[in-house]
Amino acid sequence: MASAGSGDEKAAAAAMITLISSDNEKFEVTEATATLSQTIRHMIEDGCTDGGVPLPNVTSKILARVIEYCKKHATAAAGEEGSSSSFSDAAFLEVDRAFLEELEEFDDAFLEVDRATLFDLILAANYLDIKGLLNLTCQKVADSVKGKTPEQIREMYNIVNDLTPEEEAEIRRETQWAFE
Amino acid sequence: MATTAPDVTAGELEISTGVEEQEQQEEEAPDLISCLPDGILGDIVSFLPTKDGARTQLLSRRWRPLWRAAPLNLDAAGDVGLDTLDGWLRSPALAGLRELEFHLGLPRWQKLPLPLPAPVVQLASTLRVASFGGCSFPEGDGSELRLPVLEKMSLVDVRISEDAMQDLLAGCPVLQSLLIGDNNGCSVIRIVSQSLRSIGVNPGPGAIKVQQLVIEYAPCLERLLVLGSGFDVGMVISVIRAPRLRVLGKLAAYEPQLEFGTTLFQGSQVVSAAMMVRSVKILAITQMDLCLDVVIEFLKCFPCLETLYIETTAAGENNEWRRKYKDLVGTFDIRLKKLVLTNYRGNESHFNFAKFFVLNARLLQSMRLELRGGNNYGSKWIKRQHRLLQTKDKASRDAQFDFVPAYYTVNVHFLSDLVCTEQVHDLAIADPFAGLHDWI
Repeated sequence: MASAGSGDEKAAAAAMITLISSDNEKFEVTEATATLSQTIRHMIEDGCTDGGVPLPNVTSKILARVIEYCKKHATAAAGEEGSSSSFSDAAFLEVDRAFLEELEEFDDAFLEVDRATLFDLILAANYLDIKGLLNLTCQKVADSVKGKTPEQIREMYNIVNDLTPEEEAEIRRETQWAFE
Repeated sequence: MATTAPDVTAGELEISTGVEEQEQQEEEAPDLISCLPDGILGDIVSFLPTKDGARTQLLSRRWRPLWRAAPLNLDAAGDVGLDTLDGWLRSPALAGLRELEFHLGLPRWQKLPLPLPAPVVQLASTLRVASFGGCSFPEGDGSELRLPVLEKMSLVDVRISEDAMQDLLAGCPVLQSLLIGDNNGCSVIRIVSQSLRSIGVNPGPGAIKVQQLVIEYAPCLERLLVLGSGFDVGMVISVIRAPRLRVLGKLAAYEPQLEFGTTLFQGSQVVSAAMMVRSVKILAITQMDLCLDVVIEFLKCFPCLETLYIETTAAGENNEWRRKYKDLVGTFDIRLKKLVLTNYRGNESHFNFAKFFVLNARLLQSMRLELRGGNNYGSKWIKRQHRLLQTKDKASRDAQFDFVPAYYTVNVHFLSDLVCTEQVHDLAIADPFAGLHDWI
């Protein structure tokens, strides 16, 4: 939020950041949106965002989705707040609850993607250091394997079993309770 | 995805060439999930219930070590008996366990929670990170926990007597960070530790709360965090010897009572400023009304303060200061580098308050004004605020002024439970409050 040298007043107005995907597409976002990414936040703090932020690990398709997530999580509340004229904590709580519910719905819909996209989102969230998005997407994967046998999970994700029968037996012996 | 059919394979189908080439497809279909880095796969494993997590060891060589490296998630969710739990904990696979988060999940009003299972005591010798919850710590039965390499410990919803607490702490010779929350049975905690660098205390509600925290001798203590804000009955924190205490807060409006020798605070009020505490560099307080007089008192008590967080909940006092502090500013050096005002309204009281620091804090690098929700702040409003704050006449040439929308501030209360663990235990971050304010 501190774009150096551009004068305080200018800096205070919604500063925009340009993000550049691996396939060279440019995305203009507000600083509030961009700084959900700790990686970008640090770049802004170090003053190295002039001329755009190249993100060589993120394709435009994935970056568009990530920005969608960040926009929602960065600005929805500010809009919601407008309806609250009361100063009481109770009103704040109420507004917040409604907002959190809305966010949850958004997140659920956001996760309706194919598996390849989901993994790309995970990698992007990891690279950009967006904690909320990383947890959300990892939880989605965890949910998908919950209650399944190792065989089912392997089949589901095309994991090749390279364990020797001896190794398998060892694992089963060590954590017998998990296979009961 | 858990509720959908197991044969949903959208990702695979998308890259396959045709359904009839079933066998070929299986050979060619890439194992996308195993391409994720270890850290991420570890996260995924740790999100799983215990049994599911352990079973992932059997997927492949790549997966085998992940479960052990990930934090152990003993999420039994009521479907196992204590015998089973004992069995899990006695599993040879857990030998050498480094991190354990253990919560028996009993409601906190239950008078006699079950004791910490014996197998946990067996695991203790290798634990570096541990969180114990929903259980009781019996005292003097010879099975006291010895945690020779434990660095981070959280005690939440546990029943523990004062003596047992002292024994437990004595059994942690290299403990660096300690989080104490909502515990029962221990009203006084005395800290004597050569190793502790961070303490977080959430006194808990009503009668079960921690009433007194005495830092008798903690030569390495850097961080003292008071978590939670809704407590109403008095808690007293006495800091006797903590020469390196650098981070302090958040002092709520009226609680706790905090003593540094003869200097005494009641919440965010300065009762007696007899002694200066030079070590404190980062302070967070809550004020109902933003009051310059009080903040100046704080600055006098903590003359080396560099970062100050103030959350205000009301419209503010009359912060007209020009005449009152005209002499002061000549003799009194404000060393603040960063000032964060949460719920800034931009009204006369608030901008007068902030203006004092604009015009007098010569070392100021950043003033972050986190706007109160409920109004529509446009660029015009911000321009006007710059005029009212006289940012053109700022005392510090390098000072930056940031107006931050309300969103960031509103959610702090809701997420504070989640982030407080990090605030206390993550010693890599220099300013634990910054994380709160940056939280998504």
